[in-house]
Amino acid sequence: MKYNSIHLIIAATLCTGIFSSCKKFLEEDPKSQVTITNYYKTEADATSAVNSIYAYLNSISTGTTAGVYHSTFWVAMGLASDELLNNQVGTPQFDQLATFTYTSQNSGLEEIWAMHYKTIIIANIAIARIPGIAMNELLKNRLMGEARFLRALMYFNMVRMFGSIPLLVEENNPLTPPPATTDAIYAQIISDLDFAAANLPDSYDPGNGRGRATNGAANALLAKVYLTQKQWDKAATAAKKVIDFNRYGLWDDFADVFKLSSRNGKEAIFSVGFGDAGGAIIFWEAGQFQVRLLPLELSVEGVKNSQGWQIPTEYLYNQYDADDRRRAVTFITEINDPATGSKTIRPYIQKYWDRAAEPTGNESSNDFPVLRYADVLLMYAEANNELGQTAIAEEYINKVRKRARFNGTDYLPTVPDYAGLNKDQMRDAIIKERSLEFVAEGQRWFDLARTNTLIEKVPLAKPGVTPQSKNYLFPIPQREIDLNNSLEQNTGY
Amino acid sequence: MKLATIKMPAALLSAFCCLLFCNGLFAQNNTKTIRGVVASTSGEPLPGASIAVKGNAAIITKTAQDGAFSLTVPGGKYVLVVSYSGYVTREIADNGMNAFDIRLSENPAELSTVVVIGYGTARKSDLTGSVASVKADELKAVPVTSLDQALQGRAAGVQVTQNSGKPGAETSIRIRGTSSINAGNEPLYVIDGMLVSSDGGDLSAGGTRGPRLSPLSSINPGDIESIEILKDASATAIYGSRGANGVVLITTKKGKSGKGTLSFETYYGVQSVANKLQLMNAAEFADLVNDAKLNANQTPIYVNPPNLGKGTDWQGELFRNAPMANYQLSFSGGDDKTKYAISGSYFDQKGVILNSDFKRYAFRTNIERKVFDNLTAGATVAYSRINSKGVLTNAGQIVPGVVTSALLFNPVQPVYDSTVDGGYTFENDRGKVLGNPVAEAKEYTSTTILSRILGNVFLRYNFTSQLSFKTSFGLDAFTNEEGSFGPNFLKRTQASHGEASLGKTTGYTWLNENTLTYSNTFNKRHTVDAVAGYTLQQFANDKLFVYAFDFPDNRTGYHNIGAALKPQKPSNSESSWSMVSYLARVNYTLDNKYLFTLTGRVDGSSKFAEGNKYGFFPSGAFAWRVSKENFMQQVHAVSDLKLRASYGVLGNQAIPPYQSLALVGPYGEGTFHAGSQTEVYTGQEPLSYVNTKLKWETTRQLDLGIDLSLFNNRISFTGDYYQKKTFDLLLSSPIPLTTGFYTTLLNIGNIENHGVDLDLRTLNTTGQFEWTSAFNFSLNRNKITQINSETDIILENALLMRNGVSIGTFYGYIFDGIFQTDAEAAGSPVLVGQEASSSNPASIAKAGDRKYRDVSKDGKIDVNDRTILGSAMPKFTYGFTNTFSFRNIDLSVFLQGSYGNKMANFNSYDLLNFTGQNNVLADAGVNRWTSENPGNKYPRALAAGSLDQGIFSTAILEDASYLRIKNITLSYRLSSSAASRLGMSNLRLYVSGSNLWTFTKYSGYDPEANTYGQSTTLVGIDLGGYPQTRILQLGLSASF
Repeated sequence: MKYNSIHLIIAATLCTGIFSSCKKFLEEDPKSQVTITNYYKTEADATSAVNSIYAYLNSISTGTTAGVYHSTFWVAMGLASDELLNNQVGTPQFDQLATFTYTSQNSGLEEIWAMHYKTIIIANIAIARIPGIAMNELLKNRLMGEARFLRALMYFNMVRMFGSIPLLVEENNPLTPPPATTDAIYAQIISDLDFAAANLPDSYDPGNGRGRATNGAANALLAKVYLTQKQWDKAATAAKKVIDFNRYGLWDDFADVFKLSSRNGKEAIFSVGFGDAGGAIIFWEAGQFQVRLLPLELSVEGVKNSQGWQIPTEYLYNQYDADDRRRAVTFITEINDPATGSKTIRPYIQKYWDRAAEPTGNESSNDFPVLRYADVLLMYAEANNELGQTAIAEEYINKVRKRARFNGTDYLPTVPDYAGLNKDQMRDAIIKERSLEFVAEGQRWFDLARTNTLIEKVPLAKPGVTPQSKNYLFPIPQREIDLNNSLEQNTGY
Repeated sequence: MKLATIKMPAALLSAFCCLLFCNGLFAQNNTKTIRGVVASTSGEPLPGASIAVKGNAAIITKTAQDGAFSLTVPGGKYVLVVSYSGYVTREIADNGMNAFDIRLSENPAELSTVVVIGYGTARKSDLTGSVASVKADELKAVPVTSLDQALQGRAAGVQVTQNSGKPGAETSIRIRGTSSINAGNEPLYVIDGMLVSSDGGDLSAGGTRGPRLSPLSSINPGDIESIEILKDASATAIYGSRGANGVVLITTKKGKSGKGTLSFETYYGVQSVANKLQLMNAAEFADLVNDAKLNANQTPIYVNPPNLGKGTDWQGELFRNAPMANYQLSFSGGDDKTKYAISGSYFDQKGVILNSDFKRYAFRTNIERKVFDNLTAGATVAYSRINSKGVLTNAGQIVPGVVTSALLFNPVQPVYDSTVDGGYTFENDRGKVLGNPVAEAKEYTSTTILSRILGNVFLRYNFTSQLSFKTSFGLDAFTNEEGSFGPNFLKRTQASHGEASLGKTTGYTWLNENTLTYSNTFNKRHTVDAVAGYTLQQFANDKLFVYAFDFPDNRTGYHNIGAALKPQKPSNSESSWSMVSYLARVNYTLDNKYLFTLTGRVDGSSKFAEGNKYGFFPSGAFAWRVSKENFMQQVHAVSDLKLRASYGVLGNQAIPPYQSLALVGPYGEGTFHAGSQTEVYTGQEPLSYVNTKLKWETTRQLDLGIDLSLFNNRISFTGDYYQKKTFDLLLSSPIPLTTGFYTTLLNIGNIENHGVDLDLRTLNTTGQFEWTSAFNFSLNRNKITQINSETDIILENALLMRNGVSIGTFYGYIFDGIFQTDAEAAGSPVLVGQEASSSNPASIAKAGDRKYRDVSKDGKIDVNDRTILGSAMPKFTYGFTNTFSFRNIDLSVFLQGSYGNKMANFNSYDLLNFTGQNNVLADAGVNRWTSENPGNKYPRALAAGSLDQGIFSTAILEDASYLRIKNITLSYRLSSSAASRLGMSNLRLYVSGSNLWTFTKYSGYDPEANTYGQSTTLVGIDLGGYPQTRILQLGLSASF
């Protein structure tokens, strides 16, 4: 090789190196991911933005895999009342809730806070981005309605639990937002729900959206919001609107309410779906009802992984009339061991278990009922009672009562209607009826807090456990207080 | 080869002939001829070594290519002086036999030793920066799977933590402290000039259970000639944005011109768990369970605890004595124009936990040829294949890893239960959710197969003797396949009904480097060495991951994922980054006394946003060879004295790509139901909280050093003081949940490290009995000097980040003993809920509950009582090696340790939890507080659980200082004559023991445990890791 040619090669190498375009060489182009700047452009993007809000209601793919209605939230609302006891070892967060010894470091409350705000943030993105997408206006308004309904649902849970908290409604928010007044939060909830009620459809076809938020759901939630605010007439109006839709009704037999075949049926106003769709999606999307509530003893009947972690108070069980259909459907008290015959156990909750459809228990594909028609009837009764319309209250509470006496074939006289009650007695009857009807539906703490009866009722079911006035709000999680100095802890914590 | 085997014994044979037949003849003359061979301690012949007779400078000779010599010496007693550059000079007395087999040991203090620096080499005497060298002999002492493990205790300023005892697992290396928080802290690894992928995440395929394999485990430690560690800015600035954490330069063995050598090395060892924990046996545990139930007004479970005896030793069932073996065959050689070195090796290690192992096949070829007078070409090709099985240790989802499960499982239960599917006892029956660790280890398979090829070719052209150009192109390509399968009868798979995953990652990085090197001396006073270059590097990988649930048939495992009833969506991803760099370095030496170095590198990286892509990293250094000054010439004791100072700016770009982009991804999914009809929906959402104000982090480092050699290099000392300041630290920080995220990357502030590295080597005795010592000492102090957070950041409920404290500061409650009476408990500050007026009678503090200090003095124990409890950072670390040679016997003793660091023993949350849900430490359980046996250390048993569960306090924070007998090796070398009779040039046999004993107060498996591996901020936490092992081995190495 000649020196010249070597020099030439070297010179060429250096030149191509130094003078070729470095700019392009250093550009980033992630082929497998989409950046935010080229997303939120199409109708499909809009739908998926709203779908991701729903996706936080059931199970999620990180951490504990628990979304808002997965378990902690409704378990906590049952434990922090006269409804549930904790039987799950190694869960101090639940022990503390059940005994009203929880502090700002309670991990269950932190999870509830985290999941609600996550859902709110996802809803805010959809609400901010969808208006800018060129798409069918009807669908656009529907999706906006769904997003605003879900945001209102989250804020309504949060404002009742924690009081004055940050109100975030934009896509981009300050890192450490200040709290808003509860009035401001309620105003936002009502504005969101009014929009949702005006823009959401009556219903969706099965398999094509059935399960998404409807105007019925928006009105039912409005009724609950007004009831909580003691705006009785508005509560009654909203509830009556739902009743007058004539789309909803009670299943004749209480045993049918929680059948898989009844999911999003006539009694369901808004539910959260669980289940892995036969394996199409990840298994932790399945519900926890059976794992968590069914007794361990059922294993002799071939039921798998039933842990009996949360159990009803004996007091609750004893509130029912013996023939109340709801007692037999809601609780299991007998185990049939093929080897040794039947034995009686303390009551456990079995109502979410469709034994014929899911004989071995474990993962559940049942829906969690957020709002169901029986609730609307009882809300209507409650609002009217407060308005002095005790007769209307009696009429509507007895609609729920009537079903309770149906044993599958006959209406039994041993579960009588309420009759001749005065306003105070009716108020007590309604709060009691709600406890019998909505066991483990995440309602009880809210009902006791709304009716200011937490301090009075809890010790009846849990002797020695004495809630105080501070327990009408939960403490804001310490992590949040630590990271956001503009927040103030609720009184007493 | 053939030539060599004949040639070598020939020289020796002639020596023998003399011995046998000619001895008497020579003895009568006035002079006699002696013969012999000079070689290194590892058996390599040393050509050109000088042999002289002491006191008679005229009688001198040099060894030939094969290390052989002959010399005619006067009659009577004589003493030979044998010397060779870079080796310890030896004096050898007349042995009466006139045949010598002389071994010289390397003297690292020798100033003419050439060390590898970035983009070149330098004599040790010419260094201005701080560079530590570790030679092959030192690396060989301890049997290691991976070269990073071999660095432990070998160099000052280099802290190596063996995170796990899993074969081939990652270590964590800190060179001069923790200078970054989020971006990596691991050094840059350069193998023969190739900047390799050393980020475990880049190689991972997502299917491995348990700790990740070290990316360096694919390199056969037996191929390594030397390792240089660049520590200060002067040394590392040539690597610019990747230099802030230090640089590890690895040089593999090259051929030498001269005779060919064939060598074979092998060892066989047995590993065992160094330290099993003493747990309660069945009888003791049953008694604890009953007591816990009684204290909570519940019914006892076990009728007659003493009858239960010892029960199951779950640790014993999970652990085993595991063999390891290594075989390596290599040959090397060359002539004036060509040099080659070729090796092949097989390494097979079983893990001490059932069903874990590591196998490596490695091959390497290094070849270099002078093609023309001015042009040299060379190539390196190395291929390795690792086949490793892992088990899930550390924390796990659904159920904990096997080690934690073995510690906590009810000892009353047996391992096997033939009445259930799979034949194993299914789960712990005492409440704590634990799967059977034996079942999980044996039945949950997880396999990694990693193939890696490292190739590099170069051309070097010398324009003149002063100026040369080198261009090289290298490729580091890998394929990693990770498969796992859990059969349907395990607790872990109860929800999934059997699960399998298969992940594949393929990737590569290529590097093109072009450098011009110039060196010249002017007027005999001015010496200039300069290098300038331009490099391009690109990395790309793509990953494919499939998984599935619900396997009705367990037989085909992950080999047939299609057999699953519930296959899940596959996922794949691609990522890449690229860099363009310009580098330059000038060394200028005046009068061989004053040394100046200026270095700079410009790096352009794709990882940063437009406008921030380029960074400039300069450094400067000055060294003064005081010993060359005239006034030092009379100070004979000082062989060398050099003072050094350097300062520079370095970067860190070890963040994943695409951080500056806001990405949207598929995330949410769920179902809507309408009666029996199911509709699946999916959603997309932003994947992270994007901080648009992110800046890059830089480190400025100052180094002041001294190199001192005394008494003809018998004592050599290197000391360095350094200060490293890192600015605009990136940290994945907790943020308010109102953002929708738990954490995001924030530039949270600045951090400072300063410290001292000391290295002392002494040659204590020479002659027949040679004793050398090497001691290194590292001290580092770390401090967060600024943090942009108004409130404390507390990680894992135990580690504090706050202005003025160091990384790894433990923060929690002070445990103050046990309440001895109910009255004491009622009258003391207690946790909220434990007060006597608590609405829950079961949680009220009573005699036997833990007492915590009311630091805030407000009469109750709450978050305000948390305080600083100690640090996970050692006050200092050290290594101490002594080697003794007597005739053919060598003994080396290597001690290594760490002082002043604490460990959060998270295992104690459970192992000191006397609810009866799980097994506990025997000492603690037996000595738990009872009214008959009140103590002040352990609380009472209580089935309902105390409210202090999960509270981080000094009750579970332990002193993790340790001194470890890391290795003792005793070896025997056959004399050359005896070896040659076997047809060998060298034969060495040895026995060695590693991790023989650890002196520590730490109660867990190992004071080095580091559950979160290479995490920067989550340090000093021990949670169910793979235990360290003790290794006993036998080895042999032979050369022909």
